[in-house]
This record gives sequence, structure tokens and C-alpha cells, in this order.
Amino acid sequence: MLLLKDARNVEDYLAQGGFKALRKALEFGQDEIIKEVETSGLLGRGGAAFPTGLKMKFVRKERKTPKYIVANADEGEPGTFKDRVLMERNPYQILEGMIISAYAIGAKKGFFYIRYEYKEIAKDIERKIEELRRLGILGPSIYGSKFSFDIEVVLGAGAYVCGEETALMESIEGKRGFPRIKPPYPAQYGLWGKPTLINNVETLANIPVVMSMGGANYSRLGKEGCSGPKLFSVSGFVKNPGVYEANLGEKTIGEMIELTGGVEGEFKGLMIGGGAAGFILNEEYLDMPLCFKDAKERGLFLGTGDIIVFNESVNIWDILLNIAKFFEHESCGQCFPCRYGTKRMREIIEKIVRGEGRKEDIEKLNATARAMKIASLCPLGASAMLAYESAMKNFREELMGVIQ
Amino acid sequence: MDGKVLEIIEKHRNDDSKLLAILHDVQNEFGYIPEDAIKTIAKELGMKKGEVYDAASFYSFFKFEPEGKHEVMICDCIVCHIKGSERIIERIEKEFGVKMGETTKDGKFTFKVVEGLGHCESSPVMMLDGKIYGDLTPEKAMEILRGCE
Repeated sequence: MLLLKDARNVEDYLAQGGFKALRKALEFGQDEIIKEVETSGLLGRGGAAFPTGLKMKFVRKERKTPKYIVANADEGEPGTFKDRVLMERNPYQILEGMIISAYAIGAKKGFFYIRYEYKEIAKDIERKIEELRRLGILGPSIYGSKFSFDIEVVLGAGAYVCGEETALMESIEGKRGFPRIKPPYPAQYGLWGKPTLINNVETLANIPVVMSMGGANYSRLGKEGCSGPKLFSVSGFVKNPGVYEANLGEKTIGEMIELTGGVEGEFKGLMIGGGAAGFILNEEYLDMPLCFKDAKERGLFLGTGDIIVFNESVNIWDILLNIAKFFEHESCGQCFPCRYGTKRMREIIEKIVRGEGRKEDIEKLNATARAMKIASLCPLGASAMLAYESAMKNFREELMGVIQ
Repeated sequence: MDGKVLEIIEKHRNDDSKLLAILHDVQNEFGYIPEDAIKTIAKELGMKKGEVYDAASFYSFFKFEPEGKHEVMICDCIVCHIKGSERIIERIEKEFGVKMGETTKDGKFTFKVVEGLGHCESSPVMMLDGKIYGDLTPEKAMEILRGCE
């Protein structure tokens, strides 16, 4: 395992070759590190799958200072828990990736933003940061080099939208977590208006892997153009739910479910793409390789890499109502299409679940979904209907069966 | 109270990201964020009282009134939902005679429904005073709550 190692304390991490990648990186030029990451083909693991090297390059070339780096551990998608497990089992690799990235872009200060539900982990990360300061791996002149860097832990307070990068930055600045209009992107205008690199914690944990084996070798892990190890959160009706690691493109969805011991009960369907902001799929998708590219070819996203398995006991309208309630509650209220659209979707679906759904309701749902997709300010509103739309495609008969 | 709040503010004086950290500490100290604390924070950080409240009220875990002794969060995300969280919620509401979001009459528990505790490998789950309890059944949940001092 390259990510899911068991290295909960610093002695274990060092014994497993920890911080060697950082020492190697400190001998590299900053642009050389970014070049390695670009060559590796590493794509962001937080959901958007943006090329990590390119993002680093954007921040690196900005003239404004200071520059900041942010680790995004605001893992809020239902069915997604891989960041939590990674922080519990291999936290130093995330911190090492953060230090290397900070050095590469020229940041002296970093923020580690963790959701409130993980406050015990936040305390642990804080202790580990203090420990690394004592060891000279954080703070002034790291490993005796000219590079100084420190990290501040920020605990969220229960807002799903703060996983969106610009909302997260507003939150760090001590404001409401309202997403900003992009562009400008965080690389130009991030924390306090300064160039900021923001990466998911799993993305950061991949950086030491890239540095250790070299970008070219990393790019050969898994599939061409979709490389490297990825964590998958598998939950729902499977025998052994948990976090599993596989190289991208190496396993199909069906094989991943088998790896967890198979389905509990009779397979009905599944969700991928990041919990609520995901797709409801049927058995036709079981042979899809778990890879960003394969998902894209089918009009899907792999998102955070979660798989929620449904058996015969699951009712699809019931799932859609749960998701609609989720989005209604989590809409930040800043833009109208999302604020009103999520409420309307919940009301209509509730009516259908009560057994009072009519054809016009489906038309209204479709119109609402379209409007939200076109006009929402941030990905929250634009993704709220993905589950509904995909379910309509893959479980049409069941869904329309209750409509008068 | 003022002294304690000032002490908390002082502790975070050198942090770049202050407000959330201060609000968390105030809530840990008093169990909620009292209005007087908001006044003090605003004054010390050079903000308006409304600005502090505006930011704080955005986040669902900040409380502005005292709540029960124990905070119980029951997860009803997609995964917990299909694994039976609704039965747990129904059972608790029935046994304690409250609705979700309310505090029991004796002030012992405040119950909340949340949308993702991030422990889907042991769904359905609840969080009791920051600690996770998984693989719940309505019976198991009741047993844990009855065991609370």
C-alpha cells in the first residue's frame, strides 16, 4: 500500500522511510519538483480531478506574496470517509506532502482545515504538528535548509459547502462560508487575496509517493493518463464496508465490491461520484473501471471515490428524498437557483413519496434540475440533481411506476 | 465571564485564522456562545457585533442558547438511512418524548439529526459527546443512552 500504510506515530513513519521524500525534495529546485508532479499525471483526489502539477505551477508563477497552502480535510460527502481513515492511519504522509508542496510553490504558511465532526482528529493533527516542530521538520529552517514553513489547524463548524475551495477560504478568514465567484481562482486570489494552493489531503499524501519513485514511474502505476493509487470508500450493503486502495483503472466497480466480500443481500444498484453529489447506477456499470477517464467517457465523475451499494431493500425515491433534504439543508443560501431549487426539489419528491406524484411533478422536477444546473453559483447547486437525473435514466420504470 | 473570554481571545491573538477558533473555545467553555461573549469578541477583533454573529450563525454546530448536558447526533446520511437510521430516530423520539432538535425536559440530552458523520463503514452511527457509536440498532442506541450519567 502506498497510501493506506499504518504509521500512526512518527517512529513508525520514519522506520517506513518517512520524510525521505522531503529531504530529497529540499535538494531539488522548486520547478523540478513541480515538473515531477506534472510528469506523474497526478490528478486531484478531492472530487474535481484537476491536474495537481498544473495547479502548483499556477501558484508558483504568481509574483504576489505571501503565498499560502491549504490542506482540505472538510470531507462532507455522505458515503465518503477515506480522508478520515487516511488521517487516522497515515497522517504524517499528508503533512510531508504539504511541506514539499509548500516548498515547491514558495509558501511559508499552511492551513489544515478539518470538519467539525472530526474534531478528535484535528486535535491529533495539532499534536503531530507540534511534534514535527520539535524535530525540526516544521518551523524555521526545515532539516537545516533555508526553507521555513508552519501549519495552523482550523476546525470547521458544520457546513458542507465549506468543502468547496473558495467557501473554505472564506471560512478560514472567519466569515460565512459563501463560495466566491470564479475566476479569479485561488492560485491568483486565494486566502486574504493572496496566491493559494488548496489540495485535498489524499492528493497531498500522493506527493511523497511521486517524489520517492519519480514522476515517470508514478505515471506507470495504474492506467495511462489516469495514474497512481486511489482510496475508495465502500459502504452500504457489502459484507466488509471500509476504505480500500487500488491504482486508478486497475479494478472495475464490480471487482471492488467483490474485494469487500461481496453484496449483502441481492444487488440492486449503487452510487458513485461523492455521496449526495453523485450518480445512481444499475448493474450495467459494474464492469466500469474505477478511473477518472472511464467515468468521464460515460458522462459520470468518480468524484471522491466512493461506492454505496444498494440491495433489494432500498427504494430509489426514498434515496432521492434523503438527498433532496441534504441539499436543502446544506445550500448556503447565497444564490437563488440553489436556495429555492433545493427546497422545490424536496417538496416535489416528498409529494411523490407520499404517493401523490403526477406527471406534471416530474416535468417540474426536470425544469428545476435544469435551472439549477445552468444558474447555480457553485458546484453544490449544480450537482444537486445528478442523483435524480441518473436515477431517472437507470431506474426509470421503478420511479415512474408510482406516478399517476 | 469577560475574563475567560479575553483569555481565549489572547490565546489566539497570533493565529491568522482567529474567529472560528475563538468561537469553538468559547463554546467549549460555556456550552454555547453567550451574547456577551460575542460583544467582547467583536470589540477585541475590531469587528461589529453583527459581523461576528453573521459569521457564527452560518455554521450549524455553533449554539447560541444553552442545551442539554449530552449532545447526541444521529446520522441520517444516505448510508445510515438505508441501514435503518430512521428506526433509531423514531425509537428515541418515542422513548424520550421529544422531536429531533429538542432537549429533554430534564435537560439531560439534546438530540440532533446530522447528514454525515463520516463513519459509513459502521452505519448506522451516532455521536454522543464527540464519541462515535456504530452498527446501531434501536435497542443498542437506547442501551448506550440509558448508560449515560
